[in-house]
Amino acid sequence: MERMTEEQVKTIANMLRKRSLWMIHYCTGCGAMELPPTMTSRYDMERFGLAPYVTSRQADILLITGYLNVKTLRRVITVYEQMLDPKYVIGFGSCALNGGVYWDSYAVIKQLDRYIPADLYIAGCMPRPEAIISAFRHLMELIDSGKADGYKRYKRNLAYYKENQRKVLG
Amino acid sequence: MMGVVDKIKELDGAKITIQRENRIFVDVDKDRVIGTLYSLKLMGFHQLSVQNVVDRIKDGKFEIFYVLYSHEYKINVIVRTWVDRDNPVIETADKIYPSAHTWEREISEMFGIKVEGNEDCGKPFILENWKDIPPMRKDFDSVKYSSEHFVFRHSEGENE
Amino acid sequence: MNKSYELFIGPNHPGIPGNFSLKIELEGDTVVSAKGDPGYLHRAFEKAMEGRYYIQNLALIPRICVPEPDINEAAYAMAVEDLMGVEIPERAKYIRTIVLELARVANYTMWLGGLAGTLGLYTLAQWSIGDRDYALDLFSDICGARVYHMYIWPGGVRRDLTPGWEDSVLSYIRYLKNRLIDYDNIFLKNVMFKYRTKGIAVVTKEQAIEWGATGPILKAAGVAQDVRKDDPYAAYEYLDFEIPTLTDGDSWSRAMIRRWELENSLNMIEQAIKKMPKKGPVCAKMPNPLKGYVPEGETYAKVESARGEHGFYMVSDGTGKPYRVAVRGASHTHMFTIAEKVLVGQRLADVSHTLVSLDICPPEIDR
Ligand code: SF4
Repeated sequence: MERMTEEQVKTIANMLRKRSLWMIHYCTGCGAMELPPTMTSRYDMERFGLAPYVTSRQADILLITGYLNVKTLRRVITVYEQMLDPKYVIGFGSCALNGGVYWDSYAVIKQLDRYIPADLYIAGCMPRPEAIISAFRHLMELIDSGKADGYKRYKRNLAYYKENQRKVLG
Repeated sequence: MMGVVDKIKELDGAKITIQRENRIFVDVDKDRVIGTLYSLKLMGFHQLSVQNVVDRIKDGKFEIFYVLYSHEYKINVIVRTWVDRDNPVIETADKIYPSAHTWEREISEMFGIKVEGNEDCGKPFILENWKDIPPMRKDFDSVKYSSEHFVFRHSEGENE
Repeated sequence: MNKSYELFIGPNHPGIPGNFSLKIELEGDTVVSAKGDPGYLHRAFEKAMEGRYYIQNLALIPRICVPEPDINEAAYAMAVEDLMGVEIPERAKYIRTIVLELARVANYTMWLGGLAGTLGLYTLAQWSIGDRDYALDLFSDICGARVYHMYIWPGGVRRDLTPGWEDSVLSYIRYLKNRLIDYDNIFLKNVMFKYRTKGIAVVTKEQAIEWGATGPILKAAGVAQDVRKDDPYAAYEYLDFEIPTLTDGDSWSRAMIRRWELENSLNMIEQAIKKMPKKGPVCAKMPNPLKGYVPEGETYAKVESARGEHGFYMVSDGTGKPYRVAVRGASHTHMFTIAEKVLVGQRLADVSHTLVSLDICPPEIDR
């Protein structure tokens, strides 16, 4: 039998990866309020192969559910670095995107992707379960086509991210 | 019902304002505040709902208020006192109201008020690695701080 | 040899109610000391509110407490009305009552799911959070948003109810009342539930009063105190309801109290819908919100949240922005004064369930 090319292995791996995504159980902000409905009977995200998981080592997706203040950012970076490749980050709501209603707050960071690479953002404050599910579907497509490469970017541009992190964390 | 209001009126050195039938403001000197709280607790005001600070920057004072509540009389008493902004020191009330302990920690972090007798004050509580002046003071500019420390996202087409 | 060891629970931990962390010291699996570490959700609300107009703050305040946002709106609106001396229309009072009680129902159903989850029964969590969602649908009918409604505002409510909304509420109540029987059968009457919660995390009557507990903790310890009765706001004075009390003060009693309150709330909504004036204004006439309109003064407005007394201390200096707003969340006292003491002596397995039983809501602590 012929051996598979690297390209083919990648395609198959991506196809399998997207079907079983475990998200880490970390509610960083108020967007987490829409996760229980998404997880439970009404919207039931398990039908897409998504399930919450408790430890960072086994999880694939890190959800930044809303605002991150500086104190949480430190933990989030630790959690992110603990996670194994491939790993994906979804930013929830306008707070992760640009600070949202807390644009003038001294504690909340604006722009999540300066500190850790985000693969996807969900707009809204707070995003509805439908939006969350559609974001997951979109993430699956990105994984399938190999475009969800945040973890690679993080490695490539580590100096940039570390510099930004150092600036806010002190 | 009337009895307790009369008793409050007789508190030493206190200025009483009855705002509503069940909301009474008691203004006292800084030195008397612990004694006043103690007598109020003996009267049956068992619950400290909130203790916090208003920064009266124009007068150069911090106003410290304690909102008390009594299950029996169903009255809110708000004890207020003033300390100097330059050297803010208050005495702890956590022997009288245990929940004051945490409120004081918050106050001392957010306003930089020293609380004597509360050993946890001064330890970081909510903030981490805070290097600026205490953030809840009126002369701390939150917008300026956040534009210095964080980078805002500019959407396309926006004038920078 | 040192027998005790330290354990961090949270902030990334499924057993912790939100983004909060707890540092506990253990000996074997018994807790020797517990210390809460807040601040992960600190967004500087009180500072941000000083920099915005009263009307702009409406967008901020619901975010102080995520599971039950409407209480913030109500307390804030009441504080502003109190400073301005505005009396809100009759119909607005009833609408507020219905919305607040519906929010309480949503909170308690979610809470039941959380409690069951920490005890290992995920079936109830699936059920009750699914049922809560129908309440959110009702909210989105009247204001377009599921979680943050910004519906109650100074002067009354933002707009009138949509036609036929009352009927959908009544049919939801009928549905939920039937479901409650199922909840009881699967969870609250379950012997395992009793074994896990009886005698756990006891707060006695004396302790509850001394430590300044409010809400279900106080009621479970035997003190009938409720802001809705003691200092009625909205339309509570026209409604007929009782404050449930129990005497044990343990985790089981608190669960029962909340179960009772849930049913009480459903009954209250029914009553309020029946008594509500069918027509009339829903918002008092208010001056232009962008021009300075709140007279000087200070006030303390409080409402009863699902966790206890929730209050806003507001100071106005006569300009268009509040001079100072201090928020009193019930969880602040419940976490640092009560939970830290109650956790001592518990088994490790009971820690997360104790926190849920005391209903600690971290956003309210950090603000
Ligand atoms: S975007 Fe809105 S819902 Fe999400 S964290 Fe920010 S304020 Fe909360």
